[in-house]
Amino acid sequence: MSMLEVNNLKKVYTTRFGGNKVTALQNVNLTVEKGEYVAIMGESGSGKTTLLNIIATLDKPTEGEVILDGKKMSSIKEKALAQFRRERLGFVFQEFNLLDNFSVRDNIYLPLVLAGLHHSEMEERIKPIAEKLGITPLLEKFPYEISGGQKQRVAVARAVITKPELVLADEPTGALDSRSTDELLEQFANINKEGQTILMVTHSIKAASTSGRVLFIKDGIVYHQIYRGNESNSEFYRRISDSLTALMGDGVQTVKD
Amino acid sequence: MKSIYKNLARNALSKNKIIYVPYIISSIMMITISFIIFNLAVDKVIGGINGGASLQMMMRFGIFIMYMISFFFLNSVSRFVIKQRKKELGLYSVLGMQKKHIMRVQFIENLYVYILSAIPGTIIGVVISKILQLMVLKIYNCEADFGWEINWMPILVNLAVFGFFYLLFFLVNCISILRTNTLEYMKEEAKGEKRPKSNWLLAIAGVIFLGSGYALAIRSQTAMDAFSFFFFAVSLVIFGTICLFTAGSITILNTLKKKKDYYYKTGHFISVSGMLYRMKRNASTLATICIFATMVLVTISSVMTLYSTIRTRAEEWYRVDFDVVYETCSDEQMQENIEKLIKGAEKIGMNIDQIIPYKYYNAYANFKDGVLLTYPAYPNTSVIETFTLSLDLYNLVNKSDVTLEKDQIGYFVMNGPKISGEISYQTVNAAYDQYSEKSKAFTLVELDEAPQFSYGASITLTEGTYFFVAPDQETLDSLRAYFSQSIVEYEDARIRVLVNTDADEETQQRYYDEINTNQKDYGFMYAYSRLEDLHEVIGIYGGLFFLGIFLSIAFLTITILNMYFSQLLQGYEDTKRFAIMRKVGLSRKEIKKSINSQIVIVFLLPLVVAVIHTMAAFPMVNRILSLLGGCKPERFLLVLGACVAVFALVYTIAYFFTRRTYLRLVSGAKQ
Repeated sequence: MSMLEVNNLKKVYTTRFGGNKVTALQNVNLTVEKGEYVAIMGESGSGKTTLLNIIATLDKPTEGEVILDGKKMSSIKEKALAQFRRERLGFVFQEFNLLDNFSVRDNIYLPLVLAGLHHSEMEERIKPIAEKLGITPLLEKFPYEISGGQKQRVAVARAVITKPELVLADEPTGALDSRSTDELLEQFANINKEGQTILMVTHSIKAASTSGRVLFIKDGIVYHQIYRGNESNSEFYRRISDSLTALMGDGVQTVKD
Repeated sequence: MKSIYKNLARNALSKNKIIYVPYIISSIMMITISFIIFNLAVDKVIGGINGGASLQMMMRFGIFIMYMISFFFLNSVSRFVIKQRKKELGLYSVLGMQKKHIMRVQFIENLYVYILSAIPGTIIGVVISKILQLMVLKIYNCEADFGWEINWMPILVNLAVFGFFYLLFFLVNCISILRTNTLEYMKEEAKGEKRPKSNWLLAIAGVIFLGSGYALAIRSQTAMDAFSFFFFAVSLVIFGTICLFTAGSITILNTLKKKKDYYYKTGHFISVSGMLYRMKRNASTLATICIFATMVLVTISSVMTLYSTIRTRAEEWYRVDFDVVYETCSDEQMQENIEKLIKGAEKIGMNIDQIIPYKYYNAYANFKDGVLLTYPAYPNTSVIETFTLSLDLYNLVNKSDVTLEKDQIGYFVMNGPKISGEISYQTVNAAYDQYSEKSKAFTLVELDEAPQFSYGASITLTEGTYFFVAPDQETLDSLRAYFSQSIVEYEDARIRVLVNTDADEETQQRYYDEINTNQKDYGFMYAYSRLEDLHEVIGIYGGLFFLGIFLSIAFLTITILNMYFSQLLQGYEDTKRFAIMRKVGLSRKEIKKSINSQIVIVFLLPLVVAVIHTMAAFPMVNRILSLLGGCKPERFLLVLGACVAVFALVYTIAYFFTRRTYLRLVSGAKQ
């Protein structure tokens, strides 16, 4: 059984004063296996963030369902959703989303504190993760004292410290310079190698080329997907690039029609 | 081109209604309250009433404070408003507007805000002032020389002062515009905030300030102490409050944060770090609110207590229906005068119950170690007021049959501590270096009631009013020598006649008018009527009561507006924070709970501390009240309790209102 199953997902937004309906997603199907590293690519407005938000239970689908580890998300009550989110999902956002009134350590602890863990256990958990991500010297600092790349690493630490089944990343490299991007992608790959399932939304070919599988989404529809197989990052990069060009061309045609 | 700026400014005001409406409303209130106080300070009608002059002096001080408060308050609001709009200004800048253009838009905006608040503020102020005038006149029972003409001076000065304030706000805005570049504008929000640091020194200083302020208030033994240390104690408490709210709260929170077992708990984790930043930002606002709340509570309960007890008090002061004062004359002449008074009463048809000529010695003195030292001059500190009369007179006016031994002196005390043991008399000269010989010692015997004659409203800075009753005329005459040293001793040259009647108020008024219009025929110096005096005293206290209530409402308004703005500001900043927490896995309910607990603390803290301050102030204020006419502590406590309850209620309503706005803000960004 797949770790994550998305069946016939449809999302229609109604503008505030009724009338116009915008279809963000239509008939999306996808599955993610345990230990996979999947990238979803698409341009701005293609619906990829909507898809991520629905998987993250932050938004509700109009039709269709999301099944995580055999459990239908729609069957989870609103009350239990928050708990579900913090126990089984980890998040990494483009804008880091660190709380400026907490130290780095407390930012990483946040989901654990919410889960009611004892502080000695939290300390045990943070050590290896901080070491791996190279943020041990930053733990007592505050978010405004560290760089963007460091902030994102802190966000990754926060995402994985709960040992979630699935890490969701929304444009994690979007606000980073190229060196920080490289570092972060390497860390993502490492985490994945240790068995962490990752689902990443991005429009960076570079970011996507570190994943094991890339899904292309356009106008709310999953068009295409390619597997890495045994290719190197640069080979995979080229193939993703080609696919995108083809997809773009298609787009131009659609506009012409 | 010009209309573009106007349109931009107008648009900005209507687009940012949620900020500008409260800004303009509070601005209107500040202008209104300032104008009313200003008008009270210079109003001819108010100045003309009894006690009006001293009242106006207070008001002149009040207007100064009011302007200071207005400036700081509106300044903080104006900064808050501009901070919310930095992004918008940045956008203008990106779109190609130069700084001078932005400043121009800012100027027009400030001008609009000023006009929108100055016009209604002044109109409301004038209307309320006129109503105040009417009510004060009614309370004082004055013939209204009330007119609809408007005194332009306070209006113009008030407008000019506030105009100047807005000009300053505009200039401050300009400086910040000049110093910020476009990119900084867009990033304004992302700027980090320094973590709050503990400041033990300031926290301990706060405890010491507050402690000594409390100690002064609670340990003030006498009314004189209370009066002379009052402002000092108030200053100590104000400093202490500010220190404790700013440094103390953060120090405590930081200490809690260091306790891992406490800090890393779901409930405490978010609240403690949330409160840290909340306190860092809002501590001074909360301290201000707390101080204002205390002022409101003390002011309103004091004036209410005074007003509620003044009738009983005044009836103690004026026990005789008519008190007629004559120059000293022969007994035959006196008898003739009394006949005239009786004839006058017959003419009016007023029945006379009692008519007795009497004399007493009135002096300021110092009673210590059994010696009553009469002063040659008016009171400085720690003195008592004494009235001395003979036992015969006491029994006559009180219709009693008290007896005293030859070496006993009867006494009764009002608003002061009881005394016992022996008493002897002594005088001192004006240079305080020559003391007379002491009189022989008398044993003090406490009497059941005060002598039933008028002795006037003694709102003097004394530590009590003591009545001494000499056993016989002979002893009284021998004591006379001691009182003759005191300047206040004038009764020697006067004879008073007390007249008591059972007639109704109307008849009494007619009798009073009758003897006053024909004063020459009756041959007295002046006459007092109990009813007349009662009305006057109640009038004065009524005016005080009224103004006290008005000032309390003004303070309360400022307090609530302060609270509203500090929470609004907080709401804007918390919006993002709570959105993040939701993403990380906090349910809406948990967020709401955390917000509630933090807002409740922020709201309750000033209220609770204000109540504690008020309780600490109670002994001191109670003693001061005893100077101003006295009242029973239980009565004051009751009124104070009622005031606290009403205040808490109003404050709670304001809290729910503010919370609604806050929650709407925070949950506005759902994702």
